[in-house]
Amino acid sequence: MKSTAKSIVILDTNEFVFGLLGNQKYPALLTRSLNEFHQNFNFRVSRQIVKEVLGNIPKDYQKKFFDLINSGIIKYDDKPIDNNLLVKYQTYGLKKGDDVIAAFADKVNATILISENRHFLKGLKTKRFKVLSAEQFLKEVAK
Amino acid sequence: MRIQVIFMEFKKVNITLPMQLFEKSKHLVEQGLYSNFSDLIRSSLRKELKEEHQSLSKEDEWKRLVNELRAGLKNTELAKMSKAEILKRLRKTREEIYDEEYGQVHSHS
Repeated sequence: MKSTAKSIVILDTNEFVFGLLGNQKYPALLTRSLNEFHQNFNFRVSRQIVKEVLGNIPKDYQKKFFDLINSGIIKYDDKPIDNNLLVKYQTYGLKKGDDVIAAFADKVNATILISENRHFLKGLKTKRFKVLSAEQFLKEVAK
Repeated sequence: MRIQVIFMEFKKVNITLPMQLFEKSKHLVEQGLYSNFSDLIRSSLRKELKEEHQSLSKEDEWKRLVNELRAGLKNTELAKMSKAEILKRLRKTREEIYDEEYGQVHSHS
């Protein structure tokens, strides 16, 4: 039986980096198990997030990371963010670049943004989507 | 040339379907898309099993790539950094990419 509308979930750059390093418990668990959670959630990744991960891992592993993104578990959106949407999140007082991630979450109608970024976790007040840490997501949503 | 003959075993199964589904399926047979109702069921099951197999392969591929990346990144400079140092580094990258992509249009305070 095919499932109907799944929640759209965004993983911030730090979740990928910590998850792939494997040295932070919850991001590591989340990243490793994304293939199991994708039955219930639609995972999306933006151009900004992919560029940030690629900019922080050695060249030897960049192709493999791209293979991971294209393996079918996550949907990759390569389009830049629309100016109006970006301006909307700039008015929320987010740090430079965080507004791009929040605008992306809004653009794809995400219900959850997973991040270890405390500025997102504490500072972003929006009803468009929830911001959760990997630990919160695993304990409260994907349990 | 050697010809190999494969004998397929068959199993007869009785199935119960909602009337609407049966009527729609029957229509496909009548249109000639399938030679009979059994042909339609066999074809649908093959398609479903193929999709299931592709879905399982995708999941295995994800786990394999995560494991390989993890093994490779274990010995990098990044793995020696603390959580706070990594977050600081990611912040810097985020700002640089922002400037590249959006800096000409948006001036961030």
